[in-house]
Amino acid sequence: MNKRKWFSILFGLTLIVGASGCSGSNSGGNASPSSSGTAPASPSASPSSSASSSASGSPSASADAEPLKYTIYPNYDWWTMQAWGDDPISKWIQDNKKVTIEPISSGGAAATKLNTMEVSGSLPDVIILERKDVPRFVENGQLVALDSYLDKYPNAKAAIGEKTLGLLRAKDGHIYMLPNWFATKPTNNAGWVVNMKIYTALGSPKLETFDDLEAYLKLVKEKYPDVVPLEVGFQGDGIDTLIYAGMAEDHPSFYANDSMFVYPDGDQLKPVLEDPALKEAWQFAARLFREKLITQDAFTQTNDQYLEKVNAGRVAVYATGSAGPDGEQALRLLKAKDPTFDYKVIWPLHKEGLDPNKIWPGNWNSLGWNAIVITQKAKDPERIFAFYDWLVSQEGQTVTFFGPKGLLWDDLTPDGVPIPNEYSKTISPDALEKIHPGQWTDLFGNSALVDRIKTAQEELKPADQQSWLVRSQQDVLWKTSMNVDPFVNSDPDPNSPAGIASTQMIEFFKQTFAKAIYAKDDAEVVSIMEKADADSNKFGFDKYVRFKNDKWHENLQKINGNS
Amino acid sequence: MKARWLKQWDLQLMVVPALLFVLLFSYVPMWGIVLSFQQYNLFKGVFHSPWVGLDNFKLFFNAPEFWQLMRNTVAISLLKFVTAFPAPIVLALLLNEIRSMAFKRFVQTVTYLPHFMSWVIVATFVTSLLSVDNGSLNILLQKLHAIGDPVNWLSIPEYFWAIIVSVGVWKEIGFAAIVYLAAIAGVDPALYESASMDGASRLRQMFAITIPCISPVIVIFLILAIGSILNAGFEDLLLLGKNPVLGSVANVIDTYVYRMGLKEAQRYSYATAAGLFQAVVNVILLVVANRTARRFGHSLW
Repeated sequence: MNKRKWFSILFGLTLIVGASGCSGSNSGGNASPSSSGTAPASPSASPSSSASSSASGSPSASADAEPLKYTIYPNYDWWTMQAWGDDPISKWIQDNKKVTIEPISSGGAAATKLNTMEVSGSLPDVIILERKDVPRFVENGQLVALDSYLDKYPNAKAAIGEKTLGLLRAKDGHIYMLPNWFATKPTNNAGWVVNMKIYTALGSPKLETFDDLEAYLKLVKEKYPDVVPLEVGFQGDGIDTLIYAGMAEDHPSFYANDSMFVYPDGDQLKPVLEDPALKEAWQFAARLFREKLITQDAFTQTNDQYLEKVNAGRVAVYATGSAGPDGEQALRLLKAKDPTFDYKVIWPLHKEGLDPNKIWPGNWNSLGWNAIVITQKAKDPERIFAFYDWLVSQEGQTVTFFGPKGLLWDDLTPDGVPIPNEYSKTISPDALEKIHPGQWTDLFGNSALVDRIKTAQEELKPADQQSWLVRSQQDVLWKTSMNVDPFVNSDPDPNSPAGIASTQMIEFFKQTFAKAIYAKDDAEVVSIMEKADADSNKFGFDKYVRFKNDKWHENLQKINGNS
Repeated sequence: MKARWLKQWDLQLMVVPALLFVLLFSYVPMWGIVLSFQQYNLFKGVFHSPWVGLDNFKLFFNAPEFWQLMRNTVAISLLKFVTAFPAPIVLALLLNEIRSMAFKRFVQTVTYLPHFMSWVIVATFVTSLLSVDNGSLNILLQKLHAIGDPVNWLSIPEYFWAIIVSVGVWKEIGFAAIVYLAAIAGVDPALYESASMDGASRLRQMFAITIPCISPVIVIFLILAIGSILNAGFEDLLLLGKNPVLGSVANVIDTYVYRMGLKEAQRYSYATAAGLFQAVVNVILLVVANRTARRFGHSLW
C-alpha cells in the first residue's frame, strides 16, 4: 500500500514535469510571420506617386493593375525584414507597383524554421538563402526554373550577364536562382578602422605594419585604460579576416571562410590549418590577446555587444568584416553628440616587408552575396519574376536604394543619378533611420549599378558632406578586395562524405581558432594547429580537400576557356 | 478485481486524460525513431526515404568525436549525480532542524525560486557574474587580494565542469528539497518522542529515524536519477558553453544531437541515431538500477 502511495505521488510529479517540459520545448520554432500587422494601404496616400520614368522600361510588372502579394523568407538568424509598407520606400512600391510582400521571420533560428516549412509543405513563395543550400531544393523539384522568364523580361539578363548566369546553372542545365548583389567590380566592407580622436591625441604615430599596430595598442592601453585597444568583433572575426590577410601577399582572408578552409599553394589546394600565414596570424593575435590588447571577450560577446562598443566610441582600433557599415552607423550616433569625433578606414595593416598593395582583406565574386529562388508554392511565379526584373532595373534600384522621387531627391542627372534635395540635407538621423534607404535593396541588389550611382551622387556633394562609407569604400575598401571567381559554387553535397566533413570543420575550426588565441605562447599555437590538422583527417577532411581541388581546377578551366 | 474496477468507474475515468497525455506525448512521437534507420529526406518524408539499416549508428560509433562526447556526457552527469542528488536531501534535513518557522520559510523560498527562472536568464546572469570586465566574482576576489588580474572563468576548460555543476545545484536544490521535506513531514512524531525519551540526540534522531523513514523516496529518486545518467543537461551546457574553446569539455550527446540535427549540419537521421543510442543506454541503466533496488525492497515496479 505504501509503495502504491509513493507511486501515485511520483506519477503526479512526472505529469507536472512532463507538462512543463513540453511547453518549454515548443517555444523554439514557433516564430510567427512578423507581417501580421501590415494593413493593405490605400493606393493614393503617397505624395511621391508620380512615377519616375524607367530608364529601361519593363514590359509588364508596372502595367498590371491586379495587386501581387507574395511571401518571402530570408534564411538567416539575424535577418528580420521590417513589415512591408511601414516605411516610405516599401509604401511607394506597394502603392505604385501594386506589390505587397509578406516577410516571414526566422525568429533567430533560421535553419529550424526552414526545416519546419519544408516538412509541413508550407514553403514561402520566395526564399533568400545561401547558394550552397539551393541544390537540395532543386533535386526535390521545389523550385521554379527561371530560364524562360529570363529570356522574356529584359532587365535581369542584361544586368547579370550570360557568363555569370552560366555559373549558376544547375546540373539539369536550368537556372533556378537569381544572384543577389551580383557584381562586376570589387565590393568589400572588411577593413581596419581607427578612432581618430584617440589617434591624434596620441600624436598620430605611424600605423602601417603589425609592429606599428602593437606599439600603438600598447600606448592606448597605457593612456586609455577604459578603452578597448583592438576590437575584433563577433567570434574573433577580425583576426581571421584582417590579421590573416596581412600576413602574406595575394592571400585573401577568404581562404579561412566556412566555404573554403583551403588555400592554394602552387597548383594545389591545401588545408588552411597548414597555412604558414594563418599560423603567423594566430601567433600574433594570441600575443596581443595575452597582452590584453585585444578585447578579452572576443569569443564570448554577442554581435550587439561589439556594436555597442563601436557605437560608443570605446574602441581605439577595430577590425571586422563589416567595418564599413558599422562605422557609418556609429558615426551617425557619435557625431550627433560630439561633432569632432571621427573614425577613419586605414590601408590594411600588414607584416613588415610585404607590399601593401598586395594585401586583400576583402574578396568579391561575380555571383555576389546569396541566392533568390522562387518556389513551386508561388501561385504566379511569372508575376513575381517580373517584379524582380523591375527591382533590378535602374528605376527599381534607385527607388530601393535612394528612395522614390520626391522623398530625398527630386531630379535625376542625365546619367540617372538622383540629386539630393533640401530635405535630405536637413533630415534628422532618426528620421533617416526610419526610412532606412537601402534596406529593401537586399531583396535583389545590383552591386555595380548601386555603387556607380552612389559614387556619382557623392561626387555631387561638397567634400565635407560626402558619405563616410562611400568615401572609405572608394579610398580603401574596394581597392583591397580580390576576385575569387575560381572558388565559387564549389560546395560539396552536404550528405556526401566531403560535405559531412565540411560541416564538421566549421565547428572544429572555431574550436581550434579559439584554443589557439588562448594559447600560452607561440609554440603552443603551432602544436594546437598541427594536432588539429591531423585530427581533421579523422573526420574525412582530406576528402573535402580533394573535392575542392577538383572543383577549383574545373572552375579555372571554365573561366579561362570562356574568356 | 473486475467488480471493484466497475464499481469505481467514475474514479477510474479520471486517469484517462493522464493516459491519453502519456500516449500522445510519449508513445506517439516514438515512431520518429524510424528516421535513424533511414537516410531521411525532408521532401520525400518518412515513407519514401531510403532505408539504410544501421549505417547511421556505425557512423556515430566511429565518429572521431564519439569518445569525447561519451567522456563529457558521463563525467558531467556523474558529477551532477554525486552533487545534485544528495544536496537537496542535506538541505531538507538541515531545514527540518530549524526551529524558527519564519527563517525556515525564508530559506525555503529563496532556495527554490531559481528553479522557476529559465536557463536563458540564469546563463546570462552567470555569464555577467563571471565576466572579465566588471564581473562581480573577479571584483570580489581582487578586493580580497586573492587574484591579481581578473580571471576569464568561462574560457578555461578546466573550470567548466565545476561551474556547470555548481550552477545546476544552485538552481535546483530548493525545488528538489520540497519532496524530501514533504516526506519528512510525514514521519510519525511518536517516533521522535520515544527516541528523545531514550536519550537520542538530534543528530542521532536524524540518522536513526528521519533518514530511514524517508529512504523509500530517496531510493525512488535515486533510481530515476540513475535512469537519466546520460542526460548531462542541454540548455545549461549550450548557453554557458558558448565559447568555442570549451567545446572539448562542453559537448555532450544532447548538444551534439542538436547541432547535427537542427543546426547547420541538418543530418536528421544521424542525429536521431545518436539520440536513440542515448535513450537505449538510459533504459538499460534504469532497469539495472531497479533490479538492484528490488533486492532491498524499494523498487519502482
